[in-house]
Amino acid sequence: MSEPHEQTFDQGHANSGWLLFIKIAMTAVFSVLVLRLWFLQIAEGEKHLERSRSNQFRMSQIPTSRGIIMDRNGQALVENEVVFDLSVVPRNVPDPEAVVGELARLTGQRADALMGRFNEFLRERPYSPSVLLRGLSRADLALVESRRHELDGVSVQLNSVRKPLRGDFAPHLIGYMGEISQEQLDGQDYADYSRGELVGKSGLEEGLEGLLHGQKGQRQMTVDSKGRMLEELSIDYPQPGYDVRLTIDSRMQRVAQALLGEQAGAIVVMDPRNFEILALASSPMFNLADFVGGISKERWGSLNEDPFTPMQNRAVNGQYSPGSTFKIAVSLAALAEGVITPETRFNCAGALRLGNHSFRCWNRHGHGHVDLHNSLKLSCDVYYYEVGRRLGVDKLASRVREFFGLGQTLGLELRTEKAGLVPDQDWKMRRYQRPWNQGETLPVSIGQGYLLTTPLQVAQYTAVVANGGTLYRPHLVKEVVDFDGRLVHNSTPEVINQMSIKPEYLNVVRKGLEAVVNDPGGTGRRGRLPDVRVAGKTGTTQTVSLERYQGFSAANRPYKLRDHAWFTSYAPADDPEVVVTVLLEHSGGGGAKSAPIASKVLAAYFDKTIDTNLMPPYQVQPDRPGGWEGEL
Amino acid sequence: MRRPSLYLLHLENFNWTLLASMCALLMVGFVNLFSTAGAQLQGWNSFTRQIVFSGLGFLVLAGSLFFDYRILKALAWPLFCVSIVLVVLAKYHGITVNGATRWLPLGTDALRFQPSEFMKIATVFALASFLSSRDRKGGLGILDLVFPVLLVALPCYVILKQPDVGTALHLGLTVIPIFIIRRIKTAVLAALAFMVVIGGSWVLFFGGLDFLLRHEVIKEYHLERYETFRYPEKDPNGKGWQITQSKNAIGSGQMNGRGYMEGSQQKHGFLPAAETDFAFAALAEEWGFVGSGVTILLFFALIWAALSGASRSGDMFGSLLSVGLASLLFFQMAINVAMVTGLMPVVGIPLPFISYGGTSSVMNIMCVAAILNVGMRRYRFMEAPLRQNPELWEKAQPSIHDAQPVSSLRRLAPPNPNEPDHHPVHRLPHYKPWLKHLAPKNWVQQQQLMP
Repeated sequence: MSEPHEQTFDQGHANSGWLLFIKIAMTAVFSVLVLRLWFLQIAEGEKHLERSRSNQFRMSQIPTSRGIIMDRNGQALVENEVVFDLSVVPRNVPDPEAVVGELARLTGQRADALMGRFNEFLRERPYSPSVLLRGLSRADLALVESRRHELDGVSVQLNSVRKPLRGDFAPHLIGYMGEISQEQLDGQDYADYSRGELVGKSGLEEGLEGLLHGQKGQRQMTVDSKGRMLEELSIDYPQPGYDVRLTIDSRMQRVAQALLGEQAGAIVVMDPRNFEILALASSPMFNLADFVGGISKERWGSLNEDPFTPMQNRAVNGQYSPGSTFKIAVSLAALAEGVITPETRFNCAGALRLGNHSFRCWNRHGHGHVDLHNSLKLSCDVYYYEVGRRLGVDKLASRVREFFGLGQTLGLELRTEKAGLVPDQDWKMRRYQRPWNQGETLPVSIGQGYLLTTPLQVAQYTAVVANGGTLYRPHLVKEVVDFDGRLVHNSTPEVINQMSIKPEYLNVVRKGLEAVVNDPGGTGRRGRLPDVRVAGKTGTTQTVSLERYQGFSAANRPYKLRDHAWFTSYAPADDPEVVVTVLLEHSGGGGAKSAPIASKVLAAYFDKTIDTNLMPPYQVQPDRPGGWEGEL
Repeated sequence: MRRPSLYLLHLENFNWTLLASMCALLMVGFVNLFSTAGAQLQGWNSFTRQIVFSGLGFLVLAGSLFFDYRILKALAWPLFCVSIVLVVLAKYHGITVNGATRWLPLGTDALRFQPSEFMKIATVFALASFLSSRDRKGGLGILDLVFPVLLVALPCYVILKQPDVGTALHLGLTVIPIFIIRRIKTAVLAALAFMVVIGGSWVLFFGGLDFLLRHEVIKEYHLERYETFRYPEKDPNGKGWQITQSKNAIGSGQMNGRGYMEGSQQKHGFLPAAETDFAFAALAEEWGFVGSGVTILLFFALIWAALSGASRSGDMFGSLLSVGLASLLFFQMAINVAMVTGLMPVVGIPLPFISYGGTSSVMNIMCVAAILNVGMRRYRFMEAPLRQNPELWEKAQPSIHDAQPVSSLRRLAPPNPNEPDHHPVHRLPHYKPWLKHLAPKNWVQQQQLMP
């Protein structure tokens, strides 16, 4: 036996201290693991067992049904339709590519878009169900159900979506619904909403969200890890939303929409006795049906890029100079201030010279000596220049604000309601850091200049004149009814202001407005009706003061430079029960264009035998795949 | 048969404890998997697949015992290169599951191969081969460490890129005992320890963490995972879910468990990955502290047996190989159990022999096979092993009853001069230092002598 060579790994070496060290270290680790198991299973075993049991409790929300919107006759304008939504719990999907690809194939969606949505859910809330596909058709549902065994982590839920009964009926007014946005979730108003829920996005759906929405129910249950219910423990039933009856008369709404036709503009029909809005039409329109189940990107883009802004509710959101219709308000303000009396006469020589600028009347030959009655009938500008000069802009502004609620929103149920603008000296200073020129008062007193009103506000001051000087709060909701038919809220006319003016003064103005339509030489002759005495006022708003277009008729100007045509009227003249205000954007003279339309609305109001089904179909914003280049 | 005794020598040195504890663990794994896989015997499910793969592993084990493990000393390098290539290939052409690309497809979708499992073993082979091929008395110096450290760093880097932090960590821990056994000079060891302390305190206390984050050495999600590990209750429905549910499962087992096939956490699907990474939690829920403790004890027996085999081997390569493979199994077990019991952040490391996984079970059985192989052939380095064992020597004595008719040609064959039993000079390794480079050739001749 020879000595082993150094190179060999001799017997003594492997049992050396280091191997022993390794063995001891490993034994230490083993003991730590066993101690840990002891701690978890014996020391804290009860706690973990308890947790394991409570693991399986789950709360789930029960969807509620949204209230119905009806017109004043109780006819439903929208309905709730039950649809099938496909939702996924991302972490329960074992093979996302295969499952999402299969879903895309079955439903004919784009696979990459679906995968993008899926990945977003996976990042943000991997363990809770999120709606991947909304509003499956029955055919798609059948396909998905037939492949259900291959689609782990996918479930089908019943949800209800809002469906308008007619997509082209008052789309601006009713409004569309959409998924709740992040800003809404973060804000105060939508505190008990959850992600992915549908909320009203415009119109009354948005404005009456609190009434319509209702309250979700809750169910406590035990589940397995996939969320399948094993046992129900307790249940809170959902509270359905309130049904809302509007003041809108669908017949008048249809008439108004049909008469607007392809014109851009707005028609407001209102009851002057209580300021109930009977019709609120805006043109061009969009189709509410496009929004059911999510609007397509192309359609949305087309609606938003359209230069005619079909999504805008012009009746409450469009701000225009009221033009000569404002003379009603100015004359009442001046009479109340005592600047003029009905007998006061001014000489109209075709223009009024102030400083070195001459302000022209629409009739360059002049109207001669006119009093208040004739100034309204002939719509003499010089008369109102003189009135405005004597009154001053501050008094004018404060009076029209007080009497007619101009320059402020009166709290209509539509969130897009605009306040308009009534300028005064302070406003000019704040806005432009320059003092007010007296020369700026004169355009304001004929409804031009800085002054802006919405068609609704024009209807308001017409209605104030019509009802003898009372300003009510305009409203769209007549009553609110709960699910069982009990009355929750009944809207009574709310007086905001009662005009303090001599009744005979007011009468003079009303006589003047009657003369506008009925007397020979009145500017609104085309608004008259054979059986009903109509009173009204025309208005033609210049959109441009360029000299070079002065002599051109509307048809010969570029669209954007044509005048706005106003006509605001009420009837019958002696006991008014309806106010009709018509605005046609960029169409020409108020007496020529708007007055005939207003008279037709009034005719339809008074003659119930007129068949609205024979009216022309509504003009809805058309698809323009080529885009909008060179349209205007 | 001229030499029946050599078989007896193999069996004499066979590590029965190791094999028995491995078989016991495999049985525990089957029993557990039968419950977690839904108690189905028909068709292809993870239970039947695991049985097939383990059977495959056993075939490999049995077959490999016929070959001397020293074949690996030369084979380690091509294996290492191939596995690096495979890991890189898996990164670019592999199947992506849960955000990491680790698998290579093998024909069908169900069959896939995870090269990083193989990479770990290949690295241990290569390291053992390299470290045993040099003679450094008094331990390794700082320069001797350069190549072996690079040898470990390369696969670690490639695996990290997949990304698979768990496997990289596992590999990094695995090689430490190999270095310890091979011995590092005390001064170098002290310097390394000092550097670890300095580096650790820099990261933890002197803003090194921000620096590493800024240069993206550490990514945000690593820290998030750590946060989840520290405070799993903060986000019980999100990323801390796995840890919370796993702890609940283990804890609810208490002393005797909730009963076989009655683990409610696992049966109702609250326990994530109950067949693979969290198999131990499922076991602990159903069998309680008794069952999980016995499993841990079996692992202890396995590792202890493997290390003892390493200490008895006379060959440096064999010894390093056994220690490396034992440490591979040990750390895999320790990381998994620590992760499942919430002692460590969740990294995807399965529990050897218990968790379901085709590549991983074959690889684990192969590890044990190599350790058995090393232990079996320790007599190769003993002086006259037959003669030292009187019982065997008795048995090996040829008697008249063993006589067989042989051809005259065979009778004339001269005795092989290189046979160790013939003369101690021919024992391996050769006493002539320069001849050690010829060891593989020599070894081939040795092989031919094997019965």
